[in-house]
Amino acid sequence: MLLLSILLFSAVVPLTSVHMSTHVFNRLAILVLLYSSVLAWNMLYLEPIGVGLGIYGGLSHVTLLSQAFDTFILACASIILLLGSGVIPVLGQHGSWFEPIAKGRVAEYPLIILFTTLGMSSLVSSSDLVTLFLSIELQSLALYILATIYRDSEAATSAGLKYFIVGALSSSLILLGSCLLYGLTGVSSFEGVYLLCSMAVANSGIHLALVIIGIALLFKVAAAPFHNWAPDVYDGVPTIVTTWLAIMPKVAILAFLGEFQGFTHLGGVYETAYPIWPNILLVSALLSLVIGGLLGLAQYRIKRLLAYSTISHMGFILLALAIHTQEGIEAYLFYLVQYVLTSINIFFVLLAFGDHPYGSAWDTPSSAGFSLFDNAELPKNSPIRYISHISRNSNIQSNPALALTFAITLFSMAGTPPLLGFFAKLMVLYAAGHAGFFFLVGVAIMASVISAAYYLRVIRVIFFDTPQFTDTPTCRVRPNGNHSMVIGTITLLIILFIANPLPILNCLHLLALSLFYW
Amino acid sequence: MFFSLILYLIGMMGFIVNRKNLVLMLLCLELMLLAVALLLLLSSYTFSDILAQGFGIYVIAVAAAESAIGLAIIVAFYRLRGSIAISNPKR
Repeated sequence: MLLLSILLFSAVVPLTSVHMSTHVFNRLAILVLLYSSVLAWNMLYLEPIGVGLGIYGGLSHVTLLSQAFDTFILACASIILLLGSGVIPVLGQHGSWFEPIAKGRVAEYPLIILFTTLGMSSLVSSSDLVTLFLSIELQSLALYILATIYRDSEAATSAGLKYFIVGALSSSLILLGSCLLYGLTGVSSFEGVYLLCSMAVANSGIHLALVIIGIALLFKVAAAPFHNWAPDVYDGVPTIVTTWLAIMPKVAILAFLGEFQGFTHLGGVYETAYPIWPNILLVSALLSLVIGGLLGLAQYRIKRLLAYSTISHMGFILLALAIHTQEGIEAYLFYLVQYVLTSINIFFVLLAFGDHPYGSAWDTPSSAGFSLFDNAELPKNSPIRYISHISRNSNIQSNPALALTFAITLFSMAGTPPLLGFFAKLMVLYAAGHAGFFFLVGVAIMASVISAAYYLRVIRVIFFDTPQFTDTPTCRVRPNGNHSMVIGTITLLIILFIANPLPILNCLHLLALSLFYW
Repeated sequence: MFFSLILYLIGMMGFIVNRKNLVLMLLCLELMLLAVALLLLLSSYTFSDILAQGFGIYVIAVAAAESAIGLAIIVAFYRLRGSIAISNPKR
């Protein structure tokens, strides 16, 4: 809620963008995000937060869970912003703090990031149909601009257009659903809807409204029957934006789904013979698991592969969410945290590979990397596009540590035992088994085995394939300091989670308890 | 109420059936959003409740912002590709 500081900053950016370098903005934005993350963290210690605190006249509802999500989202946002910082691939060294701004640089990038972060953090604490709609719009309008931020690349623009069309359709669906809910009940706060539904028998119109809202939210997170846009969009936009698109809005919307369900799991609807809401989530989880597992096998573009792996992860998260026991919520939180950390790591490593001078093989060999801030020569697409590119860029002699990190992260995504991803999957399946969803557990296990195949294929390409493009000499990949720090920290977290799992698990346990017993 | 729902469905049909033009798609999007705004205003009138009128104004503003962004993206797309047809020309 103290994000007004962010807004203030956003107003400053366009005014002074002539005088200041983009990198200064980027660093300032990182600082602002970190500071507001610390502020949100501080809020956790307030006493009434546990029960929940309605602010802005009940338009948003701050609970322990929403504050925790706020902290997490802001911290992750600042980490992802680090991607853009200090990387000047064309110059090769980053000693250019005060270099004059070249024509046509993307100075707005941190600003747009701040806007969408503001939308996300108000989304997780929204408790009214109005705030729901407005914060989703704030988040996704900024994301449309972010997706088309490379205006000169055709792939990025058409992907952004696709993203815009799908996103606009789903937000109009959200609007329709919330409007129906309002028209049928006459109240607009979730609390009011919940009260009304637990007292009276919910009629079919309310069911319909819930189904529409649920479908629209699933559209936004690209869960399975509504996933078709995701691979195209993720493949088309530059990798640095893909990182953002694949992680942050999903976290925000899933966090909202969790709270929407926990806060108003709509007693009337929930206890009827056909519990609509969990069934939507369950069907979507089943389809996501199957589709994410099977279609990922056929991909040869690395970002499409990651998109399908995202879809199968969504399946796990939705499964944990649909169970809606205390165990399930805990598993859902843990899986979400794990998913975010692992995907941040994987995209960082991917971009570090792309930093390589010969990163883009046939597009524009001279302008390597993801030069978001230098468009002297814009690459048509992001540097690493095919899985076979990796074999040349990341083979063992060019940077062994980076290749190893990539492999570890992929193993964790596939769910190999001593790593972080395994425990997340274990918790989800355990909770689902306890709740009696044995069929879904079986499907999930099969799907994760199948999806392990394509992760392993990438690993095979890294370590065992001979480089295909031998015309360029392999030179050493060197990520800069910030990147390697982030990559190292997250990788250590993934590996060493087994050594001391209690802090994270206890924290999430308390959060899950707070949802149920306050 | 049914009038606005039918308007929404017309917008949706146009959105799905339309295979030619992006601007038409944007128009259908706008139609959907405004139909919902109409629905909101109607229900606020029947409830005699001020809340949904404010919501309606928000919706109109957001619809305007959304179509502005959509048009901007379409213009950028047109500059690169030379047409705004949806179907892919052979490259």
